[in-house]
Amino acid sequence: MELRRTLTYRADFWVNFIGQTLFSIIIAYFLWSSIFETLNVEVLNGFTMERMIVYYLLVPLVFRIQQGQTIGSISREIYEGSLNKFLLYPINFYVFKIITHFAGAAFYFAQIFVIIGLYQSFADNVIFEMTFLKFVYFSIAMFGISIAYFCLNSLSELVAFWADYIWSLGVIIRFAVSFLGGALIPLSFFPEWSMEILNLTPFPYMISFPMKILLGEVLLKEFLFNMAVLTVWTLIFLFFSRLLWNKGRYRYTGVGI
Amino acid sequence: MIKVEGLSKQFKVHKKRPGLRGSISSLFNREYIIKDAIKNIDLEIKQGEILGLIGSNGAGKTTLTKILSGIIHPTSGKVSVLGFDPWERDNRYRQQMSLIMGQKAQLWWDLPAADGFLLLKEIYQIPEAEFKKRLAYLSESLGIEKELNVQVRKLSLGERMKVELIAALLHQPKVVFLDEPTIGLDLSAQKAVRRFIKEYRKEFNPIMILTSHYMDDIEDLCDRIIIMKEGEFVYDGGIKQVHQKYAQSKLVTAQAAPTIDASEEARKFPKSLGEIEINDNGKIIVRSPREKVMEAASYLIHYLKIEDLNISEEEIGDVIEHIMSKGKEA
Repeated sequence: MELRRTLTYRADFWVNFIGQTLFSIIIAYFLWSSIFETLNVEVLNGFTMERMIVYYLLVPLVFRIQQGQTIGSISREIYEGSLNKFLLYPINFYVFKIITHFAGAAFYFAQIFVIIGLYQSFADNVIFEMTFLKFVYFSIAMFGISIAYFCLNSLSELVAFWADYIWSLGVIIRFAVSFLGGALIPLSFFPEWSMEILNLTPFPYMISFPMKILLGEVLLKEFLFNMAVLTVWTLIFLFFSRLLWNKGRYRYTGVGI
Repeated sequence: MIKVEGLSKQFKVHKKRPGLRGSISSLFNREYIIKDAIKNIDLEIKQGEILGLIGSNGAGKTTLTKILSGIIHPTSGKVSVLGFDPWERDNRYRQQMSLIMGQKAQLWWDLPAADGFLLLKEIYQIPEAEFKKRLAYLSESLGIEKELNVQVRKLSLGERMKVELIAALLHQPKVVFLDEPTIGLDLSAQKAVRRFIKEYRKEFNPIMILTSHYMDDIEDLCDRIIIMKEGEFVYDGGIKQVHQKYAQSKLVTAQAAPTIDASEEARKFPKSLGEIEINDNGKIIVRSPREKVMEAASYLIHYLKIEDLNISEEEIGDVIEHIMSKGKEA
């Protein structure tokens, strides 16, 4: 259903696709080429200029896959009262929302492989290979990350039961994930001591980890470890999210009818 | 069957003082007021019954509907609908219940209704053949077959209500809550919706609870009505009995002869016989106490040389308005 809804707005879909990717690349190009020039180096923290461009080509899409289609929708439904219909239907609200979330993510998932295909067909010097194993790791990781983000995000969305308008809370989480996950600056640029702390949080596993699968090599052991950490965090988020849901429902007034 | 005992619902409402100062101070110090939306009500509705819930805005009708459908939690009291507690949101209950909201679209705004129905088919797990049969029956009864493939947001209000009705009835619920199903519709669409609800009821015999501000809806569809005021029931009974119990006066309408100065005669009309009113066409309307009706009629015949006379009950809407304004003492 979400796929159909997204497809209904074809123009928005393409503008989003092309605009976001181009925008990210242009900013990254100007910013990082001046940094490389100023420092007069070929390689910076393991990144060549080419590698940096590829990183910024793919990272917005990884971020979008993770974000799916639910951002703001749960809080909006509580705030506007359209949660009513989900309370009436004989379905689990969470399951319904997560399926919608995946449908949104599926688009960006397809997009990233279109971009990778185009890159590998036209780039002079291809800096990474796409193997079947990488595809499998990446797909499983993105599936897990998408659920983890959904559960984390739902924590902020459910606060809408108590405070009517919580848009800014969603923005903070989005920014935290984006910055601490490595979407704004690759995590190899962070000081070592901060990485020790960051590795205890879920953030590096949400962006940096799938990027490493695509651009580098991830061994099975590392893959399994990262997935286990992600699962633990997901369960923690889910536990608190259910708690908020069960408490919040008592406060719900079903406005709008 | 629906059974409600000692049901109450209170809302905690944030009180904000006006102006910028009020907004800033409410950031730090919030005042709340407790509002009683429903006060200790009892209710019993049998299978197949259609009940009209009437009351002015804020009387508690929608709150009651929301509690019965499981959207909100009651502050106190017991609720049982088809043997389930709605708040528990048991899927077996939700499979048999439906809420139609005239003011709120439930179908997906950006998609054609047909796509929304397909999703509902999955949600309610309706078998394919049965789904097709029900959809054909409902869309034909409402005369909306051609509009099913149009985006919901592009439909007219009347068409939208019709597709909402289909969406709410595809799973053949045993309890249907209709919250203002004809709001904003033109007269012919209102009639079509009412005709459909009647037919549907005859065919499937569900419990229906109808909330409406249109008296035509209530008169046409309901046998029993409940009038609510400030969270309490002020009347619960048959729609016909409302007149007998509460209509203290009858209406005498008459047409005065053109030769008579009706307004002059009206001034002389004895107050003990009722209130008299004359409209621009010379039509006389007397609202007379029931025991004085004959006296009022003979006064008119004798003094105003009237050409035509009619005695009727007060409009049901007027009687209900009277009850709503007076409350239980009416």
